[in-house]
Amino acid sequence: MLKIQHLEKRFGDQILFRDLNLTVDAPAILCAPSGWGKTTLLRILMGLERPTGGTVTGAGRVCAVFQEDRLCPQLTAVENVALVLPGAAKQYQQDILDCFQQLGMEDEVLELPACRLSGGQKRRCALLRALLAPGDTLLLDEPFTGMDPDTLLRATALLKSRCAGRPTLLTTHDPEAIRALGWQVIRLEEL
Amino acid sequence: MRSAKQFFRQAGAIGFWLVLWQCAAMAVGQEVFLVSPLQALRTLAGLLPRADFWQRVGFSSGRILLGFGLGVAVSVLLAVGAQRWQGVELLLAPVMQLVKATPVASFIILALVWVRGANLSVLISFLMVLPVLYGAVRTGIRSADPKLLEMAAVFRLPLRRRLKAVWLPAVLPAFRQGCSTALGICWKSGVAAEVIGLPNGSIGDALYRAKITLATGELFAWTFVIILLSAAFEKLFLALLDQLTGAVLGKEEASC
Repeated sequence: MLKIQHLEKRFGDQILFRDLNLTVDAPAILCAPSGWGKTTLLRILMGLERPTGGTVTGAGRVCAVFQEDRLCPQLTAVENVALVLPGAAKQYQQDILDCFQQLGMEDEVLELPACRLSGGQKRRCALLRALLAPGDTLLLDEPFTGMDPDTLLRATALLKSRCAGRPTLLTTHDPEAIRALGWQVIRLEEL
Repeated sequence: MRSAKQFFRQAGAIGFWLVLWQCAAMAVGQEVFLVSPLQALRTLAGLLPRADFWQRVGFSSGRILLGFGLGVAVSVLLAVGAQRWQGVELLLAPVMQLVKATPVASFIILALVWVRGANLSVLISFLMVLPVLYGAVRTGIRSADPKLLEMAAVFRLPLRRRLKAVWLPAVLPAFRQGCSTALGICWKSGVAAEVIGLPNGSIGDALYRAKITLATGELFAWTFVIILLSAAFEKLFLALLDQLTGAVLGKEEASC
């Protein structure tokens, strides 16, 4: 269970969070207007940003979709996903290919290095990397950016089947995605 | 088609300068001052079948390339250390600046006090290569994408995978460029060290002997040999490095 207690984050004199408390034990959607600190909160949970005060417990090993795709440009989509999986890549090959098929990625696209993929293809690759990586908590920062409505539905279906009840925090502004996922919605401005 | 055209253009440019050199040599008319390209080639052809020619080539190449190899190993270690610990970077900065700014002749004369003439070219080529490769590897390390490094940290990638996926793609292009420059420098400085240290059986020794006996043909022939050796080793080393890069990073690296 992911537990955030009395979290405080300041940038100089500016206070982003003060006494933020949140418990996440199932998949949830984190909503807030732009500039409210969704990405900063996720970065704190990933251990990339230090909070000014308060504690975060229970995050364990984190799998993430970052605000940017952060794929290794020289590796193919399959190699990017296999990179974060333990042991030899071959044992996951079929599972990765099946998942990419579910996400609507054609076989020939999977042969290309990530630098030659479109924005939506890169996003799907980043999402699959987070879903298949071994971890305790899923943190997904706008994972559906650049996806068309059909791909969005495929991605949400895969996400629901693969997040397996792990504590998950997903940020999105997309009402279609919120509807398709049907998860609890946490509004940051109300915390 | 374009590469053939380019080849003929380059050959034409070289031909132009060779003709000009030949004309100048004919105009001067004294081989002691300026030997013609034809005479230099004849002298080189005369050197090729001799056993001592190949012994000299082996002697100098072995030592100069040993210096280069040591330079590669030490510069990579120091660059990684400087990246890891700020104290190392701070300590190394003035040393690298000093090595870069000091004339090679000063190093050679100083080093003659410490090492035998036969090993002088190893030390000098090592010293001349060190700051070039250290700088190149540091540049490569600095160019690694911090966002990919964060990704690697979050997903807890093991060191080997971090190296292959993030560090090597960033470092290898800069390292390759550094090696290309350093290989030329190590031949120039290594032979200069031999000319001053005069180890028996070296190319530098042959150059010096050609100078004191006013054998200008041999001087040009040996210079030509040094240029060829430097170019050949650079091409060979870079080809090997490209092969290694392809094997480690995959062939698609070049297209990104």
